[in-house]
Amino acid sequence: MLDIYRIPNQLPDEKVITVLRRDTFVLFNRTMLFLLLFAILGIAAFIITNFIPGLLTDAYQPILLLAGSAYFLFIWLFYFFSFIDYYLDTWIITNERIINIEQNGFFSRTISEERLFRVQDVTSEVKGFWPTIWRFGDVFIQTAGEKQRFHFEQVPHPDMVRDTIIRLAEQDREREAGVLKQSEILNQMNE
Amino acid sequence: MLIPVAIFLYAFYGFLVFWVVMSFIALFHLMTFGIKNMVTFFAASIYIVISVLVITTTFTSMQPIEWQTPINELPNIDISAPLS
Repeated sequence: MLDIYRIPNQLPDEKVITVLRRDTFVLFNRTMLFLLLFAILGIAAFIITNFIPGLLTDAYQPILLLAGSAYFLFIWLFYFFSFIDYYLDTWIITNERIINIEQNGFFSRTISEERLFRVQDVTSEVKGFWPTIWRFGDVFIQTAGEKQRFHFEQVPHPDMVRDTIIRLAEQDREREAGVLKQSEILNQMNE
Repeated sequence: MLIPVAIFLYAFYGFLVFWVVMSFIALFHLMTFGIKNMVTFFAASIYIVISVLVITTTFTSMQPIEWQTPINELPNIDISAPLS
């Protein structure tokens, strides 16, 4: 289990600045879909009870009971899966790194990280009606590392996230430059 | 041919086995890869509690059912509001 206060391979003096997930609107959408599917069960029960009582015989009532129960358990599991998919996709910004944790289905998980001083370009993008209203969108981070582009999907306030990353990247570059200068001085002194 | 209702009970048991396996996988993922906080434990607890409630209610409702009742034809569907 991931402990936010003890992230993997934590560097000395590294602090978590923010933990991002998709906007809650995405979860709200999935919840609405679940409620709609649940309502179908209620509507079916209402129609059968009031308009097709012939189905409530000794032979068919058990089938309806089992079908209703199986249907509910299925949509409940489906909703739980979609919650986990939402919940396990996490982006962590620290004062030194960005960490990208993505769950792709149940048997595929990708964790990548990049040092902030390697960030070259950060772009935020808000596209569409609901993202504009609810202020969520994507953030693309171009780095000089192996993974060329980090993609934060449907995160809240992408503009603020972009500004934060740019600011932290600049601070990290300054810190790195300071460390390099210090090591150069130490090398010269040793020579 | 007379088919006993029990056939559907066995199919339901089969579904339940599949459902339990998938639920374990989902809970395992949540507890292994989720962040150690209240939301993770709350989500897992809610899922388990509601699932247990539904399964218990189903099994309680199933108790008085005579599973050997045959199904041989569709029932006379009595629609209370006829089209004519």
